[in-house]
Amino acid sequence: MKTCEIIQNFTPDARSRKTLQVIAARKEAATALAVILGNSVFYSIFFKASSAEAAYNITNTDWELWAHAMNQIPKILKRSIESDALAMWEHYQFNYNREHIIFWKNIHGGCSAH
Amino acid sequence: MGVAVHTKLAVILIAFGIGTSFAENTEPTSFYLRQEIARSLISYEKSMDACESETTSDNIISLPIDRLKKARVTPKELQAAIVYLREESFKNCVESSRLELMSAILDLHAFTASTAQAPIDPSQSGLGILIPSHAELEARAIFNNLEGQKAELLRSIFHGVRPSLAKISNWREASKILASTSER
Repeated sequence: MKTCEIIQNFTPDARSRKTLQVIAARKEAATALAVILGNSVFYSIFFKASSAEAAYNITNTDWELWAHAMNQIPKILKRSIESDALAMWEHYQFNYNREHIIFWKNIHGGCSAH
Repeated sequence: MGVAVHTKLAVILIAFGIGTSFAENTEPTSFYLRQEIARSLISYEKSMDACESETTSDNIISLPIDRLKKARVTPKELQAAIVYLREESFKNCVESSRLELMSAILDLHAFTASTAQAPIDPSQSGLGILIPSHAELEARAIFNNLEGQKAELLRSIFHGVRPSLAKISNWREASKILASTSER
Protein backbone atom coordinates (compact mmCIF):
# COMPACT_ATOMS: atom_id res chain seq x y z
CA MET A 1 0.00 0.00 0.00
CA LYS A 2 1.30 3.43 -0.94
CA THR A 3 2.25 5.88 1.76
CA CYS A 4 -0.19 8.72 2.20
CA GLU A 5 0.98 11.97 0.72
CA ILE A 6 0.87 14.71 3.30
CA ILE A 7 -1.34 17.69 2.57
CA GLN A 8 -0.66 20.68 4.80
CA ASN A 9 -3.57 22.79 6.06
CA PHE A 10 -6.04 21.08 3.78
CA THR A 11 -9.57 22.51 3.83
CA PRO A 12 -12.04 20.60 1.70
CA ASP A 13 -14.13 22.87 -0.46
CA ALA A 14 -17.94 22.88 -0.49
CA ARG A 15 -18.18 20.12 -3.09
CA SER A 16 -15.83 17.84 -1.18
CA ARG A 17 -17.60 18.58 2.09
CA LYS A 18 -20.92 17.57 0.56
CA THR A 19 -19.46 14.33 -0.69
CA LEU A 20 -17.93 13.62 2.71
CA GLN A 21 -21.35 14.20 4.28
CA VAL A 22 -22.92 11.69 1.91
CA ILE A 23 -20.20 9.17 2.77
CA ALA A 24 -20.83 9.74 6.48
CA ALA A 25 -24.57 9.22 5.96
CA ARG A 26 -23.88 5.97 4.13
CA LYS A 27 -21.67 4.78 6.98
CA GLU A 28 -24.49 5.48 9.44
CA ALA A 29 -26.87 3.55 7.24
CA ALA A 30 -24.42 0.65 7.08
CA THR A 31 -24.30 0.57 10.88
CA ALA A 32 -28.09 0.60 11.01
CA LEU A 33 -28.24 -2.37 8.63
CA ALA A 34 -25.81 -4.28 10.82
CA VAL A 35 -28.07 -3.60 13.81
CA ILE A 36 -31.16 -4.70 11.88
CA LEU A 37 -29.47 -7.98 11.05
CA GLY A 38 -28.15 -8.39 14.57
CA ASN A 39 -31.69 -7.99 15.84
CA SER A 40 -32.77 -10.95 13.74
CA VAL A 41 -30.08 -13.11 15.26
CA PHE A 42 -31.50 -12.17 18.66
CA TYR A 43 -34.82 -13.57 17.51
CA SER A 44 -33.17 -16.71 16.18
CA ILE A 45 -31.40 -17.37 19.44
CA PHE A 46 -34.22 -16.73 21.84
CA PHE A 47 -37.44 -17.30 20.00
CA LYS A 48 -36.91 -19.87 17.34
CA ALA A 49 -35.28 -22.22 19.79
CA SER A 50 -37.33 -24.22 22.20
CA SER A 51 -36.53 -23.70 25.86
CA ALA A 52 -35.11 -27.21 26.16
CA GLU A 53 -32.70 -26.88 23.28
CA ALA A 54 -31.85 -23.18 23.31
CA ALA A 55 -28.41 -23.61 21.79
CA TYR A 56 -29.19 -26.28 19.23
CA ASN A 57 -32.22 -25.08 17.35
CA ILE A 58 -30.34 -22.23 15.80
CA THR A 59 -29.81 -23.70 12.40
CA ASN A 60 -26.63 -23.44 10.47
CA THR A 61 -28.63 -21.71 7.80
CA ASP A 62 -29.55 -18.93 10.22
CA TRP A 63 -25.95 -18.28 11.22
CA GLU A 64 -24.68 -18.51 7.69
CA LEU A 65 -27.30 -16.14 6.36
CA TRP A 66 -26.75 -13.48 8.99
CA ALA A 67 -22.96 -13.81 9.04
CA HIS A 68 -22.77 -13.73 5.27
CA ALA A 69 -25.05 -10.71 5.05
CA MET A 70 -23.07 -8.91 7.75
CA ASN A 71 -19.89 -9.43 5.77
CA GLN A 72 -21.39 -7.82 2.69
CA ILE A 73 -22.20 -4.50 4.35
CA PRO A 74 -18.62 -3.23 4.61
CA LYS A 75 -17.91 -4.36 1.04
CA ILE A 76 -20.93 -2.49 -0.31
CA LEU A 77 -19.95 0.60 1.65
CA LYS A 78 -16.32 0.41 0.52
CA ARG A 79 -17.33 0.20 -3.14
CA SER A 80 -19.59 3.22 -2.87
CA ILE A 81 -16.84 5.26 -1.22
CA GLU A 82 -14.35 4.25 -3.92
CA SER A 83 -16.82 5.24 -6.60
CA ASP A 84 -17.40 8.66 -5.00
CA ALA A 85 -13.68 9.20 -4.52
CA LEU A 86 -13.01 8.39 -8.18
CA ALA A 87 -15.64 10.86 -9.39
CA MET A 88 -14.23 13.55 -7.11
CA TRP A 89 -10.64 12.85 -8.16
CA GLU A 90 -11.71 13.20 -11.80
CA HIS A 91 -13.56 16.43 -11.04
CA TYR A 92 -10.43 17.97 -9.53
CA GLN A 93 -8.34 16.77 -12.43
CA PHE A 94 -10.62 18.63 -14.82
CA ASN A 95 -10.80 21.61 -12.48
CA TYR A 96 -7.23 21.37 -11.37
CA ASN A 97 -6.73 21.48 -7.62
CA ARG A 98 -3.65 19.62 -6.46
CA GLU A 99 -4.58 19.21 -2.81
CA HIS A 100 -8.04 17.90 -3.54
CA ILE A 101 -6.60 15.55 -6.14
CA ILE A 102 -4.24 14.06 -3.55
CA PHE A 103 -6.98 13.87 -0.94
CA TRP A 104 -9.43 11.97 -3.13
CA LYS A 105 -6.73 9.83 -4.68
CA ASN A 106 -5.74 8.67 -1.21
CA ILE A 107 -9.33 7.84 -0.39
CA HIS A 108 -9.89 6.01 -3.66
CA GLY A 109 -6.73 3.96 -3.70
CA GLY A 110 -6.18 3.74 0.00
CA CYS A 111 -2.84 4.55 1.53
CA SER A 112 -0.81 3.80 4.60
CA ALA A 113 0.05 6.52 7.08
CA HIS A 114 3.44 4.93 7.72
CA MET B 1 -15.11 -17.77 12.10
CA GLY B 2 -17.44 -19.03 14.85
CA VAL B 3 -15.85 -17.00 17.64
CA ALA B 4 -15.47 -13.89 15.51
CA VAL B 5 -19.09 -14.07 14.40
CA HIS B 6 -20.31 -14.57 17.95
CA THR B 7 -18.25 -11.68 19.26
CA LYS B 8 -19.36 -9.35 16.51
CA LEU B 9 -22.98 -10.31 16.97
CA ALA B 10 -22.75 -9.96 20.72
CA VAL B 11 -21.48 -6.41 20.35
CA ILE B 12 -24.28 -5.59 17.97
CA LEU B 13 -26.91 -7.19 20.15
CA ILE B 14 -25.72 -5.21 23.15
CA ALA B 15 -25.76 -1.99 21.15
CA PHE B 16 -29.18 -2.82 19.84
CA GLY B 17 -30.50 -3.80 23.24
CA ILE B 18 -30.61 -0.18 24.29
CA GLY B 19 -34.00 1.38 23.60
CA THR B 20 -35.51 -0.97 21.04
CA SER B 21 -39.00 -2.32 21.06
CA PHE B 22 -38.95 -5.83 22.42
CA ALA B 23 -42.18 -6.73 20.67
CA GLU B 24 -40.76 -5.70 17.33
CA ASN B 25 -37.79 -8.00 17.84
CA THR B 26 -39.92 -11.04 18.41
CA GLU B 27 -42.57 -10.58 15.75
CA PRO B 28 -42.32 -13.31 13.09
CA THR B 29 -43.17 -10.98 10.18
CA SER B 30 -40.48 -8.57 11.27
CA PHE B 31 -38.06 -11.46 11.48
CA TYR B 32 -38.99 -12.62 8.00
CA LEU B 33 -38.56 -9.10 6.58
CA ARG B 34 -35.12 -8.84 8.15
CA GLN B 35 -34.21 -12.17 6.57
CA GLU B 36 -35.25 -10.66 3.25
CA ILE B 37 -32.88 -7.77 3.86
CA ALA B 38 -30.10 -10.23 4.63
CA ARG B 39 -30.78 -12.18 1.43
CA SER B 40 -30.95 -9.08 -0.70
CA LEU B 41 -27.68 -7.74 0.76
CA ILE B 42 -25.98 -10.96 -0.23
CA SER B 43 -27.57 -10.88 -3.67
CA TYR B 44 -26.59 -7.22 -4.17
CA GLU B 45 -22.98 -7.87 -3.27
CA LYS B 46 -22.88 -10.92 -5.55
CA SER B 47 -24.17 -8.94 -8.49
CA MET B 48 -21.72 -6.10 -7.76
CA ASP B 49 -18.91 -8.65 -7.82
CA ALA B 50 -20.15 -10.13 -11.08
CA CYS B 51 -20.59 -6.70 -12.65
CA GLU B 52 -17.12 -5.61 -11.70
CA SER B 53 -15.54 -8.62 -13.27
CA GLU B 54 -17.77 -8.30 -16.33
CA THR B 55 -15.68 -8.05 -19.43
CA THR B 56 -15.56 -4.49 -20.67
CA SER B 57 -12.81 -3.26 -22.87
CA ASP B 58 -9.59 -2.37 -21.10
CA ASN B 59 -8.28 -0.59 -24.14
CA ILE B 60 -7.03 2.93 -23.72
CA ILE B 61 -9.31 5.33 -25.55
CA SER B 62 -8.10 8.24 -27.57
CA LEU B 63 -10.75 10.93 -27.71
CA PRO B 64 -11.66 12.21 -31.20
CA ILE B 65 -10.97 15.82 -30.27
CA ASP B 66 -11.98 17.23 -33.66
CA ARG B 67 -15.39 15.62 -33.47
CA LEU B 68 -15.88 16.79 -29.90
CA LYS B 69 -14.81 20.28 -30.88
CA LYS B 70 -17.15 20.31 -33.85
CA ALA B 71 -20.02 19.22 -31.60
CA ARG B 72 -19.01 21.99 -29.14
CA VAL B 73 -18.74 19.59 -26.24
CA THR B 74 -17.48 21.44 -23.19
CA PRO B 75 -14.99 19.98 -20.67
CA LYS B 76 -17.77 19.90 -18.09
CA GLU B 77 -19.96 17.88 -20.44
CA LEU B 78 -17.09 15.52 -21.20
CA GLN B 79 -16.44 15.01 -17.51
CA ALA B 80 -20.15 14.46 -16.85
CA ALA B 81 -20.28 11.89 -19.64
CA ILE B 82 -17.38 9.95 -18.13
CA VAL B 83 -19.00 9.81 -14.69
CA TYR B 84 -22.53 9.21 -15.95
CA LEU B 85 -21.72 6.49 -18.48
CA ARG B 86 -19.53 4.68 -15.96
CA GLU B 87 -22.28 4.75 -13.34
CA GLU B 88 -24.99 3.88 -15.85
CA SER B 89 -23.09 0.86 -17.04
CA PHE B 90 -22.64 -0.40 -13.50
CA LYS B 91 -26.19 0.44 -12.39
CA ASN B 92 -27.74 -1.36 -15.35
CA CYS B 93 -25.78 -4.40 -14.29
CA VAL B 94 -26.78 -4.38 -10.60
CA GLU B 95 -30.19 -2.74 -10.95
CA SER B 96 -32.47 -5.65 -10.13
CA SER B 97 -30.59 -6.65 -6.98
CA ARG B 98 -30.32 -3.00 -5.96
CA LEU B 99 -34.08 -2.60 -6.28
CA GLU B 100 -34.56 -5.80 -4.33
CA LEU B 101 -32.52 -4.42 -1.44
CA MET B 102 -34.35 -1.10 -1.56
CA SER B 103 -37.65 -2.92 -1.57
CA ALA B 104 -36.70 -5.13 1.37
CA ILE B 105 -35.70 -2.11 3.46
CA LEU B 106 -38.90 -0.26 2.56
CA ASP B 107 -40.97 -3.33 3.43
CA LEU B 108 -39.45 -3.53 6.90
CA HIS B 109 -40.01 0.17 7.40
CA ALA B 110 -43.64 -0.17 6.29
CA PHE B 111 -44.19 -2.94 8.80
CA THR B 112 -42.38 -1.46 11.79
CA ALA B 113 -43.19 2.25 11.38
CA SER B 114 -45.37 3.68 14.13
CA THR B 115 -47.80 5.16 11.61
CA ALA B 116 -48.43 4.78 7.91
CA GLN B 117 -47.24 8.36 7.42
CA ALA B 118 -43.99 7.95 9.33
CA PRO B 119 -41.16 9.16 7.13
CA ILE B 120 -38.28 6.81 6.45
CA ASP B 121 -34.95 7.92 7.80
CA PRO B 122 -32.26 6.92 5.27
CA SER B 123 -29.62 6.57 7.98
CA GLN B 124 -31.65 4.65 10.53
CA SER B 125 -33.38 2.37 8.07
CA GLY B 126 -30.21 1.45 6.18
CA LEU B 127 -31.60 2.86 2.94
CA GLY B 128 -28.90 5.51 2.98
CA ILE B 129 -26.32 2.95 1.95
CA LEU B 130 -27.77 3.25 -1.54
CA ILE B 131 -27.92 7.03 -1.85
CA PRO B 132 -26.08 8.39 -4.86
CA SER B 133 -23.38 11.02 -4.57
CA HIS B 134 -23.90 14.60 -5.70
CA ALA B 135 -21.27 14.10 -8.38
CA GLU B 136 -23.27 11.24 -9.86
CA LEU B 137 -26.55 13.18 -9.76
CA GLU B 138 -24.96 16.23 -11.31
CA ALA B 139 -23.41 14.14 -14.06
CA ARG B 140 -26.77 12.51 -14.72
CA ALA B 141 -28.53 15.87 -15.00
CA ILE B 142 -25.89 17.34 -17.31
CA PHE B 143 -25.71 14.32 -19.59
CA ASN B 144 -29.45 13.87 -19.88
CA ASN B 145 -29.86 17.51 -20.81
CA LEU B 146 -27.39 17.32 -23.67
CA GLU B 147 -28.63 17.81 -27.20
CA GLY B 148 -29.27 14.49 -28.91
CA GLN B 149 -26.21 14.58 -31.17
CA LYS B 150 -23.79 15.42 -28.38
CA ALA B 151 -25.10 12.64 -26.18
CA GLU B 152 -24.95 10.18 -29.07
CA LEU B 153 -21.40 11.18 -29.89
CA LEU B 154 -20.27 10.72 -26.31
CA ARG B 155 -22.04 7.38 -26.01
CA SER B 156 -20.41 6.16 -29.19
CA ILE B 157 -16.95 7.19 -27.96
CA PHE B 158 -17.39 5.27 -24.73
CA HIS B 159 -19.35 2.35 -26.12
CA GLY B 160 -18.39 -0.96 -24.52
CA VAL B 161 -16.19 0.58 -21.83
CA ARG B 162 -16.67 1.75 -18.30
CA PRO B 163 -14.96 5.09 -18.81
CA SER B 164 -12.48 6.66 -16.44
CA LEU B 165 -9.65 9.15 -16.88
CA ALA B 166 -7.15 6.34 -16.46
CA LYS B 167 -8.49 4.77 -19.66
CA ILE B 168 -8.33 7.96 -21.75
CA SER B 169 -4.97 8.86 -23.16
CA ASN B 170 -5.62 12.42 -24.28
CA TRP B 171 -8.20 13.81 -21.87
CA ARG B 172 -5.96 16.72 -20.82
CA GLU B 173 -5.40 17.83 -24.35
CA ALA B 174 -9.09 17.42 -25.12
CA SER B 175 -10.07 19.42 -22.04
CA LYS B 176 -7.74 22.33 -22.97
CA ILE B 177 -8.93 22.46 -26.56
CA LEU B 178 -12.60 22.14 -25.67
CA ALA B 179 -12.22 24.83 -23.00
CA SER B 180 -10.73 27.27 -25.49
CA THR B 181 -13.47 26.44 -28.01
CA SER B 182 -16.26 27.02 -25.53
CA GLU B 183 -14.80 30.37 -24.45
CA ARG B 184 -15.27 31.84 -27.92
